[in-house]
Formats: sequence, C-alpha cells, structure tokens
Amino acid sequence: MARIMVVDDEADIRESTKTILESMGHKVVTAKDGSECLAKLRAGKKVDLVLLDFFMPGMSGREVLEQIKKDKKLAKNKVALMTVARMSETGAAQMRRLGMVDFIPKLLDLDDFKKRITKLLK
Amino acid sequence: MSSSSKLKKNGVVLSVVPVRGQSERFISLAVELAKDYRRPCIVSLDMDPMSLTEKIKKAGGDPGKMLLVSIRKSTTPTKLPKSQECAETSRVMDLSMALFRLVDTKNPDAILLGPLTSLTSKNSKMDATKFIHYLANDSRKSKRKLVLVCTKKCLKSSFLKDVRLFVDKVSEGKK
Repeated sequence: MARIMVVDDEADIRESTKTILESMGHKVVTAKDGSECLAKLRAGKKVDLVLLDFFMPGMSGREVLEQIKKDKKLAKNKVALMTVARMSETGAAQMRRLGMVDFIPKLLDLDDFKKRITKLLK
Repeated sequence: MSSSSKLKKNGVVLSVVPVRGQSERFISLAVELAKDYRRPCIVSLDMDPMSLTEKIKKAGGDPGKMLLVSIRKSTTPTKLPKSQECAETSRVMDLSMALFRLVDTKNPDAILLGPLTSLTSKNSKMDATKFIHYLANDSRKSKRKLVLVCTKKCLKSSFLKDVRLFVDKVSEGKK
C-alpha cells in the first residue's frame, strides 16, 4: 500500500481518482490546489507519490513542481503530472528536467492509469 | 537562415520581441508570414482594426491577403470586411469566438497572435494558459503554423513559463 496525494481543482476528478486509487489499496490524501498541496507536504504529510494537475487556479502544476523541488525537505517527493495538457517535446523535456517523473493522461483509460501508477510506485 | 524561414520551419513558435518597438516588430512578423503563407490570420490583442490595417500597409504588407482579428474600440465601424473580426475585449471568450469564426470559415494556414501579456490583463492566468494550450494543439492538429508574440520583459513571468511548455521553439529576433 502506498500513500498518494491527488492535487486537482476539480472536485469530481479529485474524488474519482481517490476512489480508483483506494480500490487499488492505496491511501489517498487530496488537495484542491497547489497551495494546499504545499501546505500539507510542509506540515509533514508523508506521501510516496504526488499526482498533480497542470491547469489550476493560482499556481499551475509547473509552479507547484518547481516549489516542491526547490524545497530541500520536499524535493525527494516523486511527482507525476495527471493532466489533459499536451506539451511540446521541448516542454515535456523541460518538465522532466524540473523533476517530473511521468505524464499520466487524466483518467482516459482506467487500465492504463492503474498500470502506470503501479509502475511509478515500484 | 532568414527570420521568415525560421518561422516557417517550426509548428508553434514563441517569438520574443524587444519592449521598445514591439508593435512595429509584430507588424513586420505579419508581413513576413504573408510572404510564406497563403492566408495568414493576424490576431492583435492591443490594436483596433483601423490601426492594424494601416500599420500593415505602411510596412509594405497587403492586408487584403490576411485575415485580421483585432480589439474593438469606440471608433471601430460596426461593419467590417468579411476577412476581419473584432473581439469586444481581450477576454478569452470574446477572442476565441472572433478567431474561430475566421478559422472555421476561411481556413488560415498560419496564425500570428500577440502581445501575449494582454491576455492576462482581462483573464486569469489559468484561462489564458488554457486558451493558448487549446490554440497550440488545434494548430498542430490542423497543420497550421502558430506564432505567439511576447516581449523579452515578460518572458520570465509565470504565464510565459507555462506557455513555453506548449511551443516547439522560442525565437529571438535580431531587432
């Protein structure tokens, strides 16, 4: 069982992702935006994976990723982007340089989603 | 490589222009695009139709060959030529409707849009970023060239850092 943080401003997406991850046996914590995600991590919430949306009010997924990787205490967190955003090759490479471990399409294919989460947690 | 062939090579380009003379540079990019593309669409987020048309003419371009989208001002005539559209403001919804009316009916093969910072004055950063993301992907899917224009000064803004993730190339002109 792993601990996963789902960060998404859309409540439906947050809750359905939570339900799926819990059905896989994982423990899930949610955050409605980047500020809540950072606050929870800074408050000592331990997670094995952060699943981050890209388009969010306030901080974008890129900004949240940058903040996590800049903070020595948080930098070890594994962060994947779960989003509808399609980046260019150079954009995707830039996100990987920032420390993002994977792009996961937003719940388009449930089996693929589950496989990718399992792979990321190995 | 000339700057127009640079523009031709890549799908979605972010063209960075100096703050001083940014309008002139925008117009010269429009004229350059019109040399390489059959029917470019020029989207100005800070000019009204009259000044956009006049400036293109003054720079030696033919506004008749272009589709023009601009911002409505009090002096803008109510009736515009069929190749022109006006957005009420630079709000994403207005702009999107004006732009896609031309895209859907006139099928431009290139779009020039700028200055990008005008988008964040009337929209949230998230809405502005989503609009550019949609436009970039639609342009790739339709094999349409897209040139986004921003100033050097705003390149380090959070909005532009996000926009850069959707572009294939960042081009800094000589001027």
